[in-house]
Amino acid sequence: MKLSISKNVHLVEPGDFEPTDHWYPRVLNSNIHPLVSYFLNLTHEQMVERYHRLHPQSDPEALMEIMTYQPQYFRWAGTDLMHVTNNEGNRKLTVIETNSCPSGQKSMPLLDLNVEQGGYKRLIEQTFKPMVDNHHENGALAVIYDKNPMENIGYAATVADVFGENVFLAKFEAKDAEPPVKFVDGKMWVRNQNEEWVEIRAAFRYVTQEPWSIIPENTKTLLLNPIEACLAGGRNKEVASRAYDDFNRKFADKGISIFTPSTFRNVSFYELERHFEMLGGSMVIKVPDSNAGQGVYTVISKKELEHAKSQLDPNQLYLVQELIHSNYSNGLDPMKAWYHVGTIPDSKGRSFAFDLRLMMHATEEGMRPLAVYSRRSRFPLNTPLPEDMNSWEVYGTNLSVKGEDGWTYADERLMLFDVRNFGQLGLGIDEMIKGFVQSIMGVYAIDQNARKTFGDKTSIPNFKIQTTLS
Amino acid sequence: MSSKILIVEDDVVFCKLLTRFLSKNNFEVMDAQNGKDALELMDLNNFGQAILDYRLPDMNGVEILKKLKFKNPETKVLLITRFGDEEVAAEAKSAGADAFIAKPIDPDDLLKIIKSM
Repeated sequence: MKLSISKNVHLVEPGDFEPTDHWYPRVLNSNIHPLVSYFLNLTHEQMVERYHRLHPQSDPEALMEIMTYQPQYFRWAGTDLMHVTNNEGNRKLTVIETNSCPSGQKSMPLLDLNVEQGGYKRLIEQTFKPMVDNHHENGALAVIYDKNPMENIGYAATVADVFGENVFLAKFEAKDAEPPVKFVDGKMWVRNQNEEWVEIRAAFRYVTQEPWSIIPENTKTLLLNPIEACLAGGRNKEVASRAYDDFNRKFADKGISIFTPSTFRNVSFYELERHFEMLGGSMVIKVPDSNAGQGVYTVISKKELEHAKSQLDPNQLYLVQELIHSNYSNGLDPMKAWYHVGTIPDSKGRSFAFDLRLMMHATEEGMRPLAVYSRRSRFPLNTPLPEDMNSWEVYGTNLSVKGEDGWTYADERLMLFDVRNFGQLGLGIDEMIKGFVQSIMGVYAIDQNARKTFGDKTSIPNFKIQTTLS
Repeated sequence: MSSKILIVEDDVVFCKLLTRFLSKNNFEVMDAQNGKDALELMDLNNFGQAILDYRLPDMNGVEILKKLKFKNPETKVLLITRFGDEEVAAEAKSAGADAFIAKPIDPDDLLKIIKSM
């Protein structure tokens, strides 16, 4: 490794991968739960058959089509899911959002103790490398990022190992007046140790803050993921919601659908109060382009509504969703409300809301699960909320803290899928299969939307053709 | 002399990678990404060595160097400069810098310098 070859650029060399640098210390010492390991090793056929047993109305052929789908734009994704139930005890995994730069590797115990690069290696070897091998451009390799250095140094070191060449690790931020990365006619360049621009043939991209303002569409440099994946719904919640509706219409006769809380799009600032009343005095307001728990407001009182409105731009449009409730919300229609299942009560009887972050990638077989972890809320579901406490404390699960750099996080609320934590979530293999199916349907929907919006891509590896030819 | 090392560098990746590298080589390391945080660490700790970047968001490395030397003249200070920063090097030398290293930095080379200081 060569540190600071130019401002905000490091050169990562083969052999630089150090597990202690790319996992939280707690995760390094954890053992994956056997059920999680079993789930991650299930074949598509097993998952389709099981999902069909759980949802007899679902069409196995349609499910298999989605499992084996080769996305053209959105080949690496994360979903945030919540485990919910209704008054009849019908439990589901609901999609909260889909993310085109998902974190998660640093929270995932090793699936195979003999592969010390874990999910980093599976993603780079099975997804990124086949794409790069099929993309004929000149230049070096890079990882560009604006946060989460712990995982991005890991990706850079893994790319260096898998390709056997040095990798530029460059911080690329919209706010940087002299960024070390530039695009010229769709080709990406990175500044080297001599302050010269080096052309890049392919880059792993983890740029999350307004990436569309600094990364162009239709780049000559291969990007995983390209910006089109963000624009088609991988980042924008309003666009994603429309893509899910398109999916649900397309597959209505196949007995499958993407399940999300009831959603209202393009809600003006002045209509927020009407939606609050219509939804029974609670809702979630989302800024469509927000992420990492920012720009999301849970509202369960007029006071919280006024607070949320004080933070919002009156000229913007918002996404409003039905709140997934605890058991303490009053005035709800029992036939329509969904509740958090919550964690198994601890020794003090406390049950917490939690979400699941499921990371997936496109491989030769189709979409596969890659990493999974959960985050729980601060305040329990089954205790009345103190009057002065914000409802986000009960419903919010994001771990990011101000100035998050990948080394600081709310450790006590991170729930690993390991021997110690997984049982506390009350999840089984069936829930993981349901969550995975919901997730890949979301990816399918967004990728289809990208293809419809931006056209078909030609440089994605066609594994089926390659297999036939060999 | 204390075996604690202070790293002051505004690039968080640089700070963390170097902190971990030196920790693995049995040094006790603390890092700051700006001058203000560095001064707070200096108030609470005695450092045997310090690795300072010259360009920081709120002050420069030579200012921190002077404060370190004022607090403890025995503290060994290594200043990170850009290639060709001769004026900076001259200013740092007169302020008592013990060594210099130019970016890009190979952690193994840096370790050799630290051990020799």
